[in-house]
Amino acid sequence: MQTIFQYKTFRGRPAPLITVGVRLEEKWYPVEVYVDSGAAYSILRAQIAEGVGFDYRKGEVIFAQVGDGSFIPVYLHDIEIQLGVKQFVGKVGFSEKLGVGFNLLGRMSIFEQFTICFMENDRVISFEWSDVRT
Amino acid sequence: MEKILLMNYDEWVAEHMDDLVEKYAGQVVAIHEGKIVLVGESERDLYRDILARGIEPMPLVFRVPREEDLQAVLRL
Repeated sequence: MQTIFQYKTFRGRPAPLITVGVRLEEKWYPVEVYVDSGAAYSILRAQIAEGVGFDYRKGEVIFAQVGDGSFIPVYLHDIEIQLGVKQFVGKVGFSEKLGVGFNLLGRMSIFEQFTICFMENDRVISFEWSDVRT
Repeated sequence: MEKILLMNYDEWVAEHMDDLVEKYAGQVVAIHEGKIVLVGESERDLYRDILARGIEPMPLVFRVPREEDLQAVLRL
């Protein structure tokens, strides 16, 4: 089962930004995430959780290092995620200190479940689910 | 949620990214049925507004990137 996304072009520069679903407080929410193979965790802006009434501070807190070398608090939760047609439970963190404007889709729970191919020349990214790994 | 809804949002943002960046960089927009229905400063406020109004299907709430956001991820 494969899902392919076109890169989104930002002032002439392509970026692997994709739309996925996350389930919070019994509702599904589409969110835009930057697929970041260099990020260990998927991290969403805490304002999303605050807006939908999800108490993200109840999660396990870790400190993730970001691009400038500093550490930010991230509250981890097991959350239902949808990528294409595939729904699965994965680790998602929330942080109020995410300095970058994008939500991030990192390796944990994602790169373990899918074979992911960044096809820079074609400006597409593909996700292939493997049931073998579930 | 319906895959078609996710893919429609994905395609809409891809198609309109340049317009979004030009008009709304740094702001948060809610996209619903091919239109921007709300604009604000925070995801928190937009989601609260959406839930209060009962808008369905759930809009895509999207923080429109600024130039420095792209620069930041490219450095990661």
